[in-house]
Amino acid sequence: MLPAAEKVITRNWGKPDSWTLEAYRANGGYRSLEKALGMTPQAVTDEVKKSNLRGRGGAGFPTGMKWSFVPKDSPKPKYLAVNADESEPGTFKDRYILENDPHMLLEGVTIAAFALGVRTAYVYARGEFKFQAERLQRAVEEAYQAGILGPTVLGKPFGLDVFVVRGAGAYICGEETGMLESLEGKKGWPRLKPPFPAVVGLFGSPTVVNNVETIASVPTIIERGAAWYAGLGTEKSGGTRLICLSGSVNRPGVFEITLQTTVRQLIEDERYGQGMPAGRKVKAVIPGGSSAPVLAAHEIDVELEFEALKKIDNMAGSGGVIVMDDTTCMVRSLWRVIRFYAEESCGQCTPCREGAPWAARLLRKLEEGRGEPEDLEILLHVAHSIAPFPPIGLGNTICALGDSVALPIHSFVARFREEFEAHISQHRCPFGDRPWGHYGALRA
Amino acid sequence: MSPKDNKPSSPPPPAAPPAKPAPKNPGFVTLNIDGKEVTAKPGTNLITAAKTVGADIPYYCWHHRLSIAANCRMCLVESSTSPKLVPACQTALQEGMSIRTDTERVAEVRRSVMEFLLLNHPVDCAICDQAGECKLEDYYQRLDHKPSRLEGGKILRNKRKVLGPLVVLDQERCVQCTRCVRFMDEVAKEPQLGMFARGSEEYIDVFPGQQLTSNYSGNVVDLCPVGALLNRDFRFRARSWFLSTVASVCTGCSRGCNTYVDFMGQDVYRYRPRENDAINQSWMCDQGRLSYKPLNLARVQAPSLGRADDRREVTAAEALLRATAQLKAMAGTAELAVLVSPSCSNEDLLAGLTFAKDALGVRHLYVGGRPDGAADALLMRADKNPNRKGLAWVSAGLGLSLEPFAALLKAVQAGTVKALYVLGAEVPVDEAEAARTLAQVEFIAVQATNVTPLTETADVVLPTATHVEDEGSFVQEDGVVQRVRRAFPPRGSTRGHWNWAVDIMREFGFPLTYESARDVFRELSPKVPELASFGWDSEAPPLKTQRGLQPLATGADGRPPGYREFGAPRVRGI
Repeated sequence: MLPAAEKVITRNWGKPDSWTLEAYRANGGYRSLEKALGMTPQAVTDEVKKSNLRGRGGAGFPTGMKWSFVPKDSPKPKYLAVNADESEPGTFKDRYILENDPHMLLEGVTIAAFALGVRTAYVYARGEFKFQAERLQRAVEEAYQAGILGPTVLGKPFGLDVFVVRGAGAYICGEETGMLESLEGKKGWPRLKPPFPAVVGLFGSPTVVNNVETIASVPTIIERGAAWYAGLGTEKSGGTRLICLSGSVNRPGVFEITLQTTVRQLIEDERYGQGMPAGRKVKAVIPGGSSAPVLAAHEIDVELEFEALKKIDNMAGSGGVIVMDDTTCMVRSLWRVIRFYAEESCGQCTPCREGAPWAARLLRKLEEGRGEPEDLEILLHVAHSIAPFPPIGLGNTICALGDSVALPIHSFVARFREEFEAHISQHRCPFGDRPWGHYGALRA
Repeated sequence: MSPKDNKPSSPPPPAAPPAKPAPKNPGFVTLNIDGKEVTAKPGTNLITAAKTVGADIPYYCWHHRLSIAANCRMCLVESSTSPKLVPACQTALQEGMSIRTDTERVAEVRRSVMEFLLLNHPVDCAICDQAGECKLEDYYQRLDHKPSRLEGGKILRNKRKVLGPLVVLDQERCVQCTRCVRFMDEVAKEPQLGMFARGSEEYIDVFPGQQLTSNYSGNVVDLCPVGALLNRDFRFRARSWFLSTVASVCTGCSRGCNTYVDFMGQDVYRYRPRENDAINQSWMCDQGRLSYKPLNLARVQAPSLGRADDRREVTAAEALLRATAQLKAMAGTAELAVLVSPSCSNEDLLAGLTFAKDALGVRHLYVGGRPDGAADALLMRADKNPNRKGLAWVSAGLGLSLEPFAALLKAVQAGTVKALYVLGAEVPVDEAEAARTLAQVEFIAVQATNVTPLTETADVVLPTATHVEDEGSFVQEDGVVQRVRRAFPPRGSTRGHWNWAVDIMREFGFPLTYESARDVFRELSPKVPELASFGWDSEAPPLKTQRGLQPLATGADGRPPGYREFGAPRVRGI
């Protein structure tokens, strides 16, 4: 039996009016902030470092280390930018945090700002998060009135302003430097790195960019201690994590899991997915949002943890687990994924800008039964020209969106090649023409 | 953050940078490119450094005077510092790093970028002005050379979007390198261009309701590596491979921007800026760019005698005889005045002013020249005459004083001037009005390149060659002496100012043997200390200004350079 995960992020979810300051305080909120303000900023950073907290946005970069890259002696102001531009298909965890517990995020922002010496913090919410941004904005106003934000924080000689900014609906603005450009009021084109944002970020100043879930984990780390938090996780990665389970399972949703949980356990456990719909089998699972490589049914005994997934050339990504059953056409799924990236490519780098629409066009041709034998090779070649694989991270583009186009193509074709070839040899989609296949056996 | 976020593309910065190896050549960076050791100054761009060992890294978006965008991904190379291919334009040189530009992997990625760029490119080279000087064409020949694998239509966009008075955009040909956007932002400091929309649908455009009105808009045409941004003045007028090119200097103002003059036969088709770090970097203004037009239009082509209706074309000898007879009578008297334009080259001034001093016996000169105009902070200067400094130097060297043009008008109105010798017919006031006033003078001899009201009132008109029809040198505002090269022989019966001056001096009885502007400079420049040290030959721009095939040298087959009959161009090397 899988051990129950400690509730770190989700502990207040579902409680009455959990998004109000009153309820948050009643549940013990803002006590870690008081504790943190009694420590030195360096001690807070060290605590986060010791907790083995890793970024939950997708890269899984150690948060404490990221904080320590900020130059201490910079004459420029420092900024904290919280990335709430949660746009990855299959990912919807930050949205739940903003809806259910905005004050936990704000407390984390305040503690992080104190540790980093930040006086101005931004929360960049995606354009579609109107309700969520408004709820966060209300929480910010409550915090200002309660003296938690503003010229002094809880009466201490430390001031912090928090601004909630909404994007205009571009996926690429979730890329950290694209987000900084967008925050500056420019077109969300990712920047060249180096310099990294920790040195030259928002308005040319040192900036820490963290995901909502990452920052929301900080109050608990301070409250319960780094050792406790690190103990929840694995050797290299502390704490629990949120998983967004979607697709063909009986109980899709956001779950807080331990890092030792495997994909199979996530799908089948009573507390999580509660198994597949009757009569259906797992065909494929995307473990970390749509840009992660796909896993075939025999590979799903892998733990949803950064290092374990990295070992099999995959990635933990943003925690968006998408389950596909045996009635799903993989060509159509891949086409849908690539269409998304073709639409969302920012247009800066040639391979991604031109390659993604070309791949989408090839996939449409395959799915509609017009495919020719050489099309599959062309498709793989296009993907290879955008980003060779394996390993992850060889992309020929400025940001990782290029990799996000190539990885699904490489992995889908590698695992389900017969299905692609069946589309070509049969001159039609073997699953019929319904959007996600029809609910029946695969026609011969 | 989304999972695409900084995971693969942004490897975490190292916690503590490893100790740097001691530089092999102190003060320089030593690295290895394609197995060859390269020593470069720190801060040198890798593309530039690679060129020194013959590794020609292709690129579209990089330009040495613009910020780095690294978006074309054409310059990707293998580096020992990264498992990924790195863009050469963005990679800082590191001591001991090893770069490969010649591997299969690099060749493959170049080929694929070419294929990507050509996916939505219309390939309408046959009607494209950029054909022949297009990076897409060049790199396709060199790096790709494969048929397209794309089926179906291309993205259709606006093929003739007029951006402003000088520039028209073909959005379909664009490769989205953003050079033009960066130029307008960073150099012209007039951000009038932007990149609109997203992904493969994106396009360059002006902002709604605005136009590309900058005085530097022509530079975006030069910067555009493909045929997307085109010069409306040059469009559809010539195929670039039929044009010959010569290095010259813009004579539109006193800045003296270095140019290439592109010509065919005896017509100039366009100016393009020529690299000069000290003067114009890589740019020139639109006003200067269009200042080639008087070289082709309204030229005085034959010597003539007589005012207004009595005017008749004559031979050069007849015109010289007439001028000599009239001027000789008044030489050395106060009734003879000389008007000189600061648009003439140093050689013209050296010969012309020597004539004025020695033969005509004047002690002071009236200064004509074009009137002042608009100026800006970048390149354009209010003084529209290219050689005012040269005039000051030469006149001082010869011991002649300069008087303003207004003094000449006053003297004419007072009736003290009976004869006028004009070296360059530009005047700094309203031309028609000045001509009416000067018409009171009994005898006017004019050396002029173009028809103006003054040439209409002159008794003797000597047609003069322009700066592209003769060798010469100019002194720009900062005192830099710059040589120009001859593009083609003078039109019609025109000769250089110096040539007329020398001829007329012979008529006056001075035994001069100058055969060329070079002779004039060699013989006369020692009198002018500032010019004496100028290496007329050694500091001239090279004759061969383009790589690759060159048009026939001047007069190689008895025809003017650049002259083309219908049919295949005659070029060296075929």
